[in-house]
Amino acid sequence: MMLSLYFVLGIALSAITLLLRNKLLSRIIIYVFLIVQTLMNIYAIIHQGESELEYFLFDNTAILFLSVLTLLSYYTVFYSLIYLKRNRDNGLRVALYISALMMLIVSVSGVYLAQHAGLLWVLVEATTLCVSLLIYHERHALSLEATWKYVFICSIGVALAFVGILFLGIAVEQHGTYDLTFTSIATQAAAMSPFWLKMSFLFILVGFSTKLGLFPLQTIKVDALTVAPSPVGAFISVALMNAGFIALFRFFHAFSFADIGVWMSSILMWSGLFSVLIAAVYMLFVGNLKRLGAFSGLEHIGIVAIGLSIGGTAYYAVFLHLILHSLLKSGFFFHLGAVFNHFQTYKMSGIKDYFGKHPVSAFVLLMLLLFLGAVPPSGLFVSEFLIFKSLFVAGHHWEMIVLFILLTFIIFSFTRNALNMIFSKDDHAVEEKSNVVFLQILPIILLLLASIWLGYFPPQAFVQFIQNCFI
Amino acid sequence: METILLTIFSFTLLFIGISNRLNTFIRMLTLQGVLLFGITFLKLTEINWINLAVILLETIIFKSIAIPWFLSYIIKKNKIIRETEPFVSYFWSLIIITGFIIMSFIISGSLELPKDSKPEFTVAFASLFTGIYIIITRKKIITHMMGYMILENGVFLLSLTIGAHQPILVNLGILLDIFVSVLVLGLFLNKIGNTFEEMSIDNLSNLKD
Repeated sequence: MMLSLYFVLGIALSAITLLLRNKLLSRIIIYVFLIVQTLMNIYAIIHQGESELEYFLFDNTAILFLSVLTLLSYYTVFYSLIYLKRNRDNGLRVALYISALMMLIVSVSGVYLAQHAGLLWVLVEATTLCVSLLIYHERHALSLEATWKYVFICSIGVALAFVGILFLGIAVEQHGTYDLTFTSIATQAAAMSPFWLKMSFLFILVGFSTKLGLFPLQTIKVDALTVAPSPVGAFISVALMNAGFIALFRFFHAFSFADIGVWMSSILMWSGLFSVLIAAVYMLFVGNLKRLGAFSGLEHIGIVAIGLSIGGTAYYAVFLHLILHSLLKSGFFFHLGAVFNHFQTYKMSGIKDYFGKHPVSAFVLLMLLLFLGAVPPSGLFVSEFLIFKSLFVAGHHWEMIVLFILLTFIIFSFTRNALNMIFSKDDHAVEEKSNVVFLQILPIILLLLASIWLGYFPPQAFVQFIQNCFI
Repeated sequence: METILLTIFSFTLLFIGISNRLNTFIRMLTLQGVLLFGITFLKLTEINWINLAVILLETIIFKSIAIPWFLSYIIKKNKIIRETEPFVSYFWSLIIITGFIIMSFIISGSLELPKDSKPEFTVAFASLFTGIYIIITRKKIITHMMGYMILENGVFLLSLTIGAHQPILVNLGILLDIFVSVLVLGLFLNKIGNTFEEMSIDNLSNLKD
């Protein structure tokens, strides 16, 4: 009951925003929406393990990522309102932005909760529409180019994922049922035709890789993040990646009951290694802070895919990695708003002597870059360490060595860029005034602290909760 | 009867490969819509009439009237040059698409498919490959769009092969069609025509380091 109310309210609120096109009312509506989102999240936690509307299930995986999403939507709204105020957009554009953001949050929540293969696919498709509106927000030639590419490649990806679901349909039908819920697939996967399940997994992986930002269709996500407003970049680099991960994980988990686990693992391993390789190569030459963040996302999702391919104890590390990455990567993109406000550019060559000009903000940027490179005390160090450990235990020595070398390159790029921006001398310094207040930086420091806390001193309940995800 | 329609469908794929005018392209898309209408009518006799009506409406109204009309409207409005401008010569396109069709026969011949669905499966696969091929080898954004339509027709045909018992899958396929086409065509083709002088993919290579 609550869930249908949530969907209806979400759609209604965004429709009202579009109809009214008023800045002040849009603000009020998004606050109301945040309350609705929080209530839904609390309801999901209370009703853990129950299913609703037949095809939605409040399981541990969903609740975990839903909570991250709710936290993230608070941050996104906070920074979006700062962004919109500074940008002086007119009422229509503000309304479009806010209503697309609300629909995006609703559809991502739907993706987390969906238990039916077809429904999941529809909701993933719905995210494309909202994201394309958001990345088109600044409306110049570059954003049009990125939006066109995003929409077009995502459409192809969505069509390929649909072909994957059709193949799954063949496998299910040959077995004699017509039920496409994940629980039913999982219980009967062992008796289904391995060939069709393999084909299905391959197409679904390629199709959803647009959302994950994973090799082979990773490019559009990088382009989209380059032109998106920084709060939107924060949201889609994290929430959308998590949504793609959940979508892939549901299929992976259901199919792993069939006899194709080894085959799926090797596909994921290669996909992950290629992602990290591409990220490492591009990061050496990258010149734009947003693209640096985007390629770092490619690296992390590659590590996640590798962790997923090992399975077993690495599952905990994968989930921890995704959650910590959500905190840090979104923090990085949120902080770019302040960086842009100081220097009026995202180009790293235009950012000089940051520490001399704005010490607090520069320190936070330095910490974010180091933490994203998984340098201790970053929580990501713990999860990457656990993934390396399971790679070693599982006997993937060569893959581990390659990954080590690639990660060294990535840490090198991070530190080089960070040092260049923060400590280099600026010969043509001009007196700048900026209106970044400490209140804008404080939430990001909280994210950094939270990542240390969850990485090194995770509460027992949290660990138990994650481990209950894969029973 | 169904086999005849499928054969004509694969001829349209070959014809698309060698057509050098955008109008021919659009006519072929219209023809494909009508053919899909016929195939649906013959194939899906078991499902209930509401579903059947929706599918028929989609194939005839959406695929063979609305989309072609909209494409020709855009061509007129943005004064697009009426050549298709391929990277690969028409002769080679013909050979490659023929290769795709042969390959699809081999693939579907070697698979264990639901009964009576081999012909549809073959043509659907050929259509998928051709769509992707057209997207890769043509220069204009609008031809990319048309390539995507061909790909989607292939996906639709594929969903028909297993849709006799699982109508939900066919309905999802229709959703894909409508959702994506409306989004892509409505929102962006107009804008791209206004922002860039000529609608060529050469304008779309500025995003890099």
